Amino acid sequence: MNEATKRNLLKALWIVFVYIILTMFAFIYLSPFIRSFVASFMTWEQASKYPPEWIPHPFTIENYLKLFRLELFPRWIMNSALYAGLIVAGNIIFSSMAGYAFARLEFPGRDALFSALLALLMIPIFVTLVPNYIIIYKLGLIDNIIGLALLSLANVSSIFLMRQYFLSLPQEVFDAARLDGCGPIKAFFYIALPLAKPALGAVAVYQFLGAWNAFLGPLVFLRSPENFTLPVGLSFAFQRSMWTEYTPIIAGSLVAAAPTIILFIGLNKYLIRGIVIQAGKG
Amino acid sequence: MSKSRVFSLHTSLSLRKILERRKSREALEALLLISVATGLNIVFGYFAAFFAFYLSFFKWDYISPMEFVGLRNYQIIFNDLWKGINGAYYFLAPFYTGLKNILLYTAIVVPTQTILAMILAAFANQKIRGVQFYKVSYFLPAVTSPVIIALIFIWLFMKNGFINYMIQMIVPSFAPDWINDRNYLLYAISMVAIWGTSGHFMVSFLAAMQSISRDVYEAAMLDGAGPIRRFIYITVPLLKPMIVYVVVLGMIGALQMFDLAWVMAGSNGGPGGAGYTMALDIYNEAFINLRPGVAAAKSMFLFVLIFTSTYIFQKKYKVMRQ
Amino acid sequence: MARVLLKNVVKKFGNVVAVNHVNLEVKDREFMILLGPSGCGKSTTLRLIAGLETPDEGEIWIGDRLINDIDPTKRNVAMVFQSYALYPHMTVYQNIEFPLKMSRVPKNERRRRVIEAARFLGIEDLLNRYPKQLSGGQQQRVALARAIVREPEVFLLDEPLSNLDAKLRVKMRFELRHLLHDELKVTTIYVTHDQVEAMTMADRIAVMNQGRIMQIGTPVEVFEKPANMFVAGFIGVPPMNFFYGSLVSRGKELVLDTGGLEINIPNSYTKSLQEYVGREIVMGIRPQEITIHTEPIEYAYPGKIIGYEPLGTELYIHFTIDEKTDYVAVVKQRLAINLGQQIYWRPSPSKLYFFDKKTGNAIY
Repeated sequence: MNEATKRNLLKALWIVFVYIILTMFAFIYLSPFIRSFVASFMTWEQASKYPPEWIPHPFTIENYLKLFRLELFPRWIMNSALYAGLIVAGNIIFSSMAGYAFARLEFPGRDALFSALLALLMIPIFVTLVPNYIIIYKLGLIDNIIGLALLSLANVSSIFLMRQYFLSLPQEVFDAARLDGCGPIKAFFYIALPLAKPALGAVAVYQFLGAWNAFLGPLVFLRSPENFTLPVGLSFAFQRSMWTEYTPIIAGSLVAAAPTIILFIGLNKYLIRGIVIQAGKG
Repeated sequence: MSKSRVFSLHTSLSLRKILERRKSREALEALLLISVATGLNIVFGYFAAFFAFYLSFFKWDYISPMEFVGLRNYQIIFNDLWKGINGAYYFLAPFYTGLKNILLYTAIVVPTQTILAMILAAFANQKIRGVQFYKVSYFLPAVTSPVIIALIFIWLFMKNGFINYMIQMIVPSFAPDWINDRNYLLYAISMVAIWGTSGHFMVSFLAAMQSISRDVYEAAMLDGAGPIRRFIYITVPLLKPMIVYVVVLGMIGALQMFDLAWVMAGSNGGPGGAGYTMALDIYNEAFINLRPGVAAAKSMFLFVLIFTSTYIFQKKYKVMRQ
Repeated sequence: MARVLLKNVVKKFGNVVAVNHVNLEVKDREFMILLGPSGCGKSTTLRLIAGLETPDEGEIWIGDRLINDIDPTKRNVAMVFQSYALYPHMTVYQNIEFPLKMSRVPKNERRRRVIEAARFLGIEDLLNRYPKQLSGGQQQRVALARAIVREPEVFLLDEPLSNLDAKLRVKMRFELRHLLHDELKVTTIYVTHDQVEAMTMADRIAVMNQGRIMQIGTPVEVFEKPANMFVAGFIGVPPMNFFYGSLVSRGKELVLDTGGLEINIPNSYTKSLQEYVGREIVMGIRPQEITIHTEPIEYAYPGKIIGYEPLGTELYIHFTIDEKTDYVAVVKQRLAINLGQQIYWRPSPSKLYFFDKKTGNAIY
């Protein structure tokens, strides 16, 4: 065996090793989802067998039916959708406006104000939780999705992302627009906003994920079960003591996770790129 | 001639005013654009933070008038810590329990997820096909709600559950009751957290690795460095800024961990308070015990803990770099 | 009438004075080029005229209107940017239409004027495309169309050719001047750092350096009669050679004493140099005005070859007289020379320039 073939063999072995490691970890990351998906079509009796079984027998959708027999489950889905919708809309509108002004317009105190907003990222949510509870309470908006949404309509992270995006656009395009007769606000609607579609998409996706998955806020600011969002509703409905079987809980979890999983699989390239941009800025 | 001079003098005097007017119009429109976003953040961010600080010096129950108590709320915290250090039961020293647990949790989760993410990224950063599939697989837990993940893992962590089944293929006769055993609960939560966030950081590391010029690796290869030495001597040093970013982000997240503990351990921290965290304690203080003043003081403690630990880490890193 | 007038205009960015007391008059329909190295303030001057920056001091007039306080849109100026600054999300048609739409021109008239402008520039086939589908040259035409559609009184161009490849650049030089100067007959202010562009296109050139105007004149004037050492050194390729020394009287003759070598100064300059006798001056000779000889001849001075660059039709010869300073001569004839060889260089006696060393200003 000469040097070259030896080297090629080693290289092939290394590639095989890399694939084995990567696939093993893919299994670790995916198996809870796969295992849950399979088990959601099993009876609890079969799903709790040891060693675990992989083929549902008998195949049943009873778990999903039980879920929708929970009176409030559809309500929670609607509430989560409403909450996520408000958050996405608010962040798209307000953070694009603010991001544009911070990136492209001149006004006294601009940079100081922006730094002050960024500094808010260092304050843990637990610090502001109680005062915000009191503010929302005084506004009469406790136990109201709108009151909850009010807290996150213009997240600093969205403003930051939009500002960075607007800064990356060439100055000359805005100069040209100004000569063509656009004041700051006209330039925002005619030039900045149409050019910001990729950034707006990223803001929308991140805020959707954040709102759909949010737990602490809805837990504190929503009180009555019919106003709960999915994560809060599920965490209460599925307190272990209340259920003799766990399979409906699994089915419920999968239904709740489905929108984010589908969104992610559909937009993964886009989302991962966004993460990369954020990390690069950090 | 003299008339036109007067005229031009006059115009240049009014000039400043008009310039200001144009600038102030832009400023006005800018303020209009930022008003909602800034207003919301000032109220729910700054006002709330300062109010929390103010509140931490008052005794209150949301209903009766606020009563100034000076440092009493902080004293409550330090009494709690003191009792805890002297070995009081967990429910007599809840803050101490939460602090102790969260520090242990952070010490387990942050280094593990960072190193795991880095190693996985290094494996994926090869000339191989299907990297996108692995990225998606690793990332999937990060986009799923922690509450849902926790619900699923309660089932997977059952004594006769899937995880014990997998473990027994390697370590026979090791089958703890993770969720109900006070010796294992925190580790179970840590494992779920690592599983849930490492994929996200892996993608960050991979991006940073892909931005390292291939020339550097080729030069190292010509200098006789194999893959492992290339990783240690080239990749890791060049990744330092990303490592700092990931560690800082990881610490901020870990120190205020709430969702997983709430579902997996319950709001009282589960068996023996093994899953009790500072965040749970602040929540309980504010909304169960109805002592918002004490909760505010505890949240100040949490803020200082997060701020100083991330600050010290970043500072230390910079010293290392010089 | 669209004369442009800048009176004592000053613009500062923090501590940096970008434009320093600039006075400039651009006549109606004149093609004026602002020429200078990067960072000399020429682009800032243009942006001040456009209204994208506001001056800290001074006045800017277009026609008989003082425009310091007038909105950029109402100044009746159009600008073409270095990167063309086309709106990427709009078609060519929408790009050209945009300024008209913003000034609320009725739709029918907009359509007529857009098509007219597109036809004028030969881009009517591209109206439905997006900017990224166009070549650099086509993008530039769109940018020009967007500027002319407004029928401005003053045309401002900021390095419009610098993003084109060399061949297209030469073609566009002539086209642009023809279009703006001969067809549209508008006042044009054009910024460039490329002296060839300036020499070939301009009616007059304003040479700028460090925020100040160094000289304003026709291309021939700034080349033949540079006002100071900066202009003399900036215009012309390769740059003018400068010989530093003191002016000494030797009987009836004047000589430049460079410290090692005395260079005779022809009698035609004696009168203008009279008052500089005994003072430090600088003599300038363009490389094209030096001949190189292998044998000593009259009025030639010894030098040593330190390098040469054959450029096909001509040859740059680098020589030195003091082992320190590098001088250049451009020769057309074939010459057999070697490094380190002793040669004799002879300045053309009628093409010498003299500058006051202290002020840098030319002595005529």
